[in-house]
Amino acid sequence: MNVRIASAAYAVPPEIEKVEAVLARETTRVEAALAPLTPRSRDRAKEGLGLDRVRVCGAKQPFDLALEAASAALKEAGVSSQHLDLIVDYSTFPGEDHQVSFAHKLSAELGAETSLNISFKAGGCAGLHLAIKTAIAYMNMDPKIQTALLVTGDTPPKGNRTLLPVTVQGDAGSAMVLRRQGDNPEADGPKIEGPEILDTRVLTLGHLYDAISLVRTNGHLGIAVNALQIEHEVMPIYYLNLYRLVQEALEATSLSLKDIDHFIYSNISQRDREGFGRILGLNDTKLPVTPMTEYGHTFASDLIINYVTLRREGKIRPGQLLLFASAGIGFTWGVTLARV
Amino acid sequence: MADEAALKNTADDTSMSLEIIDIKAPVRQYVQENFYGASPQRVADGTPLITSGIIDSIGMIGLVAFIEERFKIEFQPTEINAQGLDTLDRIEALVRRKLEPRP
Repeated sequence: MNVRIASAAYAVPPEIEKVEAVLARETTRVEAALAPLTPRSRDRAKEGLGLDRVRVCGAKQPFDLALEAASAALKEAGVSSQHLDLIVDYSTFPGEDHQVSFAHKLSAELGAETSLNISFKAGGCAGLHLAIKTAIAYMNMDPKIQTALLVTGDTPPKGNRTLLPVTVQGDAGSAMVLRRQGDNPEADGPKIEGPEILDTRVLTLGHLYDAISLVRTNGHLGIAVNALQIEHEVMPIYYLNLYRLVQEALEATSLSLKDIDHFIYSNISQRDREGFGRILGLNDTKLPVTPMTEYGHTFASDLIINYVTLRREGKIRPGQLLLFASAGIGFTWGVTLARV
Repeated sequence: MADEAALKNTADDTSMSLEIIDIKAPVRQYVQENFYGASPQRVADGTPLITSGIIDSIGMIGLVAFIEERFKIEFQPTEINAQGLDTLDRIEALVRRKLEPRP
């Protein structure tokens, strides 16, 4: 089945906070999270983040950001909301006050009267791959589903912006439009532009579900980071699973690492990006600088932000191969391969 | 020399019974060469390799690839964890389980 990334867009709130200020404000949380670690690991947790500022939701909340990104992505794809068949919301932290599915509310706000709307909260930074896989599965099951909108909008609960030893989170919303090219282009209209999805792979390991998890304490929602579990159970297999998924995707498409033109990876931290680069032997041109210093880690929106940035810079050209990769809470690993 | 002889006694020889396949020796040599460098320290059977940080998250890729290739086995994602691969003793137990014929 020929499914293409017809467009992608993101939105961030205008309010800015320095990462240094976030860390200072959340010192108690950081110290408590890192307390079980050795002094060496504690020091290392704060090094190599490579994040300078984050955007924080004020007047605009995650839903507003998702709506803004969705509207921009639909416009770019030239898709009218009446022709939207599926909306998949994969927000991890949609905001404490937001209990309604983004997908349903977006359907109403956009005027996508006939869209099928689903929401799931899994995958964290790897949620995009789950959303792509979900959309393609729906397209496979139902030939009437031709166009899908994948959205996420995230902000951590108040006072939970630091996720050390992993990252510091910034707020963002993003959207991607997937379109299915019919088997008969003459009958099904003009050729759809955008990278064709060649393969999507996702691995989930449920026993690591509480390495990073949402907890409610005294009525307040918070993100609990189990630093010991991350260090002893997640990290030893973190890059291994990414590496194996990359290899599986390449094998399935008869491609090799040297065929990939752009590796689009999360903005968790500079040291994490360097780790990803090391396992695949990438140089700076294949894993380029991203806006991570300005936005921080925006969960699953990272991949969209980095993809859109590459496009805006004119670096993505016809025929090139893109490899999207990320790992997130759940625990979840995902890889998507696409040809422009 | 002892290690070299042991290296030959691996699952490459499919006629060899499971009992006499030496699993620790080739893994010990791999770890020694790749993670100890010139250090005269020897990897003991119970030395924690992963939880101690001797093998980091990137080193795990090489270790797992080496074991899979050497013993012609394939780990499922759920079988790979720091506990199961932390020492030579545990690696041996895991590999033996994988090599055992299934009923």
